[in-house]
Amino acid sequence: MHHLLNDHIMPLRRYALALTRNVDQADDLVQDTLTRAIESASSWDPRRDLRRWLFGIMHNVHVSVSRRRSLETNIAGQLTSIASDSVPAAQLDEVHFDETMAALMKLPEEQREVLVLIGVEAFSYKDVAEMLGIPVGTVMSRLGRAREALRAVSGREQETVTDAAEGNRSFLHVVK
Amino acid sequence: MTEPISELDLMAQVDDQIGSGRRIEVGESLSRQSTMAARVMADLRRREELRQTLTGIASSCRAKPTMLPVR
Repeated sequence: MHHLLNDHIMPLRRYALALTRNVDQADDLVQDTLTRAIESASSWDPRRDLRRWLFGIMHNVHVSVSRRRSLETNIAGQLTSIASDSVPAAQLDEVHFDETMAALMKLPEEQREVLVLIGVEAFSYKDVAEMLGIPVGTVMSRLGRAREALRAVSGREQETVTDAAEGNRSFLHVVK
Repeated sequence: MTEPISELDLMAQVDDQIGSGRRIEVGESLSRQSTMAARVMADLRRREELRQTLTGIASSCRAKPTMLPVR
């Protein structure tokens, strides 16, 4: 199975980065996913789509790791879960993002994962619904909200550009 | 008489998850609605941007090589 897994490492890393927003945590998530895949290789039917199976495993591993982490956080009495959901992890902050990527990182996790699985990894709506264990309608509405949020960010930039252009025009007018 | 173009049609157009017949109808409708067409194009552009950026990060700032677990 090892040689089959190799082809999927890059896509799994992309998804892991989007889920964790942290390079180290993403690495761990990829490792844990591959380990889990090898362990349960006997339950994989070669007629099934390997890529879909692996992404499903990654989703499940991420959910259980997050659950454990938030439990630990609660025990420590640090209510950081709200903050960690809206602020990109420090490590990824150092990477320069274009505004679309920055907007993706600010999305709630449920919208971020749907947008990446469909928009980046090109999974079908039905596959994503099965992977996440939610109805197709929910997938669509999360995707719709995610795109809406990204559009809003671009819209703001568009206005700024237009304002600047108009500013320039009036400036030229005055000079003339 | 074709069905009016819905938000779901536009979404499926962006994600390439639309039947070929419907794709033609949606394309036809978009050719007459420049605002909608611009939105679809912008959604497509952002889709590609995200893919490129995530691929870039996934291949560049790798802290340690991903190793397959030992069998």
